[in-house]
Amino acid sequence: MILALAGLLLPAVAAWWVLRAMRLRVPGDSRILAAAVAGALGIGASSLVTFATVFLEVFPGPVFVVADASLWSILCLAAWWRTRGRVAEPEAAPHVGPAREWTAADWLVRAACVAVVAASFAVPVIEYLKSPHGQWDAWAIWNQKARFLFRAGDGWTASMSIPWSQPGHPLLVSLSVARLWAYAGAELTAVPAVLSGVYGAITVAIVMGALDVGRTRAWVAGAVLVAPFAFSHLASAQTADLPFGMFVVASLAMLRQDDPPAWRQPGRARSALLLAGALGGLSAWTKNEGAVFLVASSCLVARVTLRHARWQDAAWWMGGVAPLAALVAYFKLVLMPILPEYVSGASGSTLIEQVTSIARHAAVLELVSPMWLPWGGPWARGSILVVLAAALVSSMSPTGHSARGTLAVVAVMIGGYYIAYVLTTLDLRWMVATSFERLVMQLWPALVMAALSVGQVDLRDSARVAFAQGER
Amino acid sequence: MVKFLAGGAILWALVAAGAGLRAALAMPADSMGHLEAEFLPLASYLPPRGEVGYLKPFEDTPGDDGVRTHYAAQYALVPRVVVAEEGREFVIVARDTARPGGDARLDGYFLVTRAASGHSVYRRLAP
Repeated sequence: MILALAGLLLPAVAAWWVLRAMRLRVPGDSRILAAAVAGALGIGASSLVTFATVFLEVFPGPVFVVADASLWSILCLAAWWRTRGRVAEPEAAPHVGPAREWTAADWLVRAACVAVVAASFAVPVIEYLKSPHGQWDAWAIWNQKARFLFRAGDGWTASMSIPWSQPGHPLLVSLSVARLWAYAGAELTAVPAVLSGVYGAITVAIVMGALDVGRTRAWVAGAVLVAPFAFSHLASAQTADLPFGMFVVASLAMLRQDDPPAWRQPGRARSALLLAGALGGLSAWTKNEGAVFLVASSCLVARVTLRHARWQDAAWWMGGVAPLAALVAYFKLVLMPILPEYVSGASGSTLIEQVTSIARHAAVLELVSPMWLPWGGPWARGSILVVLAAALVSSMSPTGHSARGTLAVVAVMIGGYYIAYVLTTLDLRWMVATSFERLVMQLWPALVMAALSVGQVDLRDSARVAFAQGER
Repeated sequence: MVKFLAGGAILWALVAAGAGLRAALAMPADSMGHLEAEFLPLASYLPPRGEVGYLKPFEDTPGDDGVRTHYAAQYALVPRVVVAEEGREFVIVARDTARPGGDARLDGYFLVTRAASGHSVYRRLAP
């Protein structure tokens, strides 16, 4: 397991140094956010390398482990070497005005958040002891595909003929599990379980980092994010919904508009958009829903581009998305040309008939509407509605640019999921019952981030920018 | 007002996280580990790759148990593909899926092995 943990850490550390070497900075220069983004990028990038080695037929033997570890180590050293001796970045700029001292209430909120996080992350441990192979979809889909990759190498495509294994879904989660099994030299059930927990931890770090851990709202957000059983249960699931939600919220965190002066700097905007594009692309490499997210976030990027009247903004975002979108297209059109289970077997006329049928829409609404209130698990009834309302209020405030953008993307995604329900050829009742909680969970971190995006622009950020501009 | 709302949110989060912890403790253990272990002894009697058959239960049983057993066989026997179709050279017959007293679907097959769990592998007599 130690080797597997080393395999998990290596690409994350390499990504951290590469970000620094390329001067790619996250909004607000939050170290926690940067570390979380490096972790997410590390997982994503290492899955891409693993995918390449499967084709080169060196996966999963010792040659793979040595080559993979060497690659990340060399990358890490090269990036570190490049940053050596560089003049300190403006993040070291002094604060303007006295920093606010934390009150007893602030400390209480922080302590409560730590307690909530501890309780929530105990759930995956308990569930792992009871269900080491994860939940139904884990052993029926994601870990099963990982086994195909680990046991058969390039023969993994045999999994394509297993209809319930969702062969058309991309491979990030399964490749990540198989890669760490290769490091461990065995199919340890702890590997997908730990990975699942790491996805949860990165998600929390992204939301808290984006909201600035120096401010109490970030700690409230952290507690609210992990409190529903739906979150901790999904962190135990070993499935792809949580990592998908992680990439979605990470991409949206890069697109936050809290600090208008920072967005007016082309360098800062370039960093944010390139990272947002890459993280959005990785969401599409995680689950089919990623395509919906890319469509939704492209609207937000278009708005950002128009607002700053800089077409390069869209180009940077596209630069991050394009390689991954090309890979997903190759996967879906060449390797696994299979329609998703939920629309397979339907003719064009059937789909048009369903979209235009009022009865069909009524049936979807009738099934979906009552599911919003109880979402979240015990003592979380109504939480999604309260957070939605808070996000709406936040988005209507004068400084609510970030909440507005995030909420717009979430709205488009909900629309996409609704259309999938309308179009599905599967039993609608079953489809809604088995997917609704997971689909909402994918959007929950983004909604919590939007809901807590309250308050004024952090003056320290603006001060840093002014300082940086003065320095140049 | 904001402080009041933040305090309320934190209190709720504490209660909800505690309730989640309780729900996790009350959850039953998953049977996949046992099911997988039951099928593993059959692996050495099957070809290392390719498709193998899986006999469907002789009568439809309500609930997920039948599906779960089939999925468990697939999960355990990767990288083979366990298809619920007749006519394959090798057929996995899970416990209690064949019709008692002789199942016509196994005519022309002979028993290769039966694991302690009751799951069996049959092989066609002639190609």
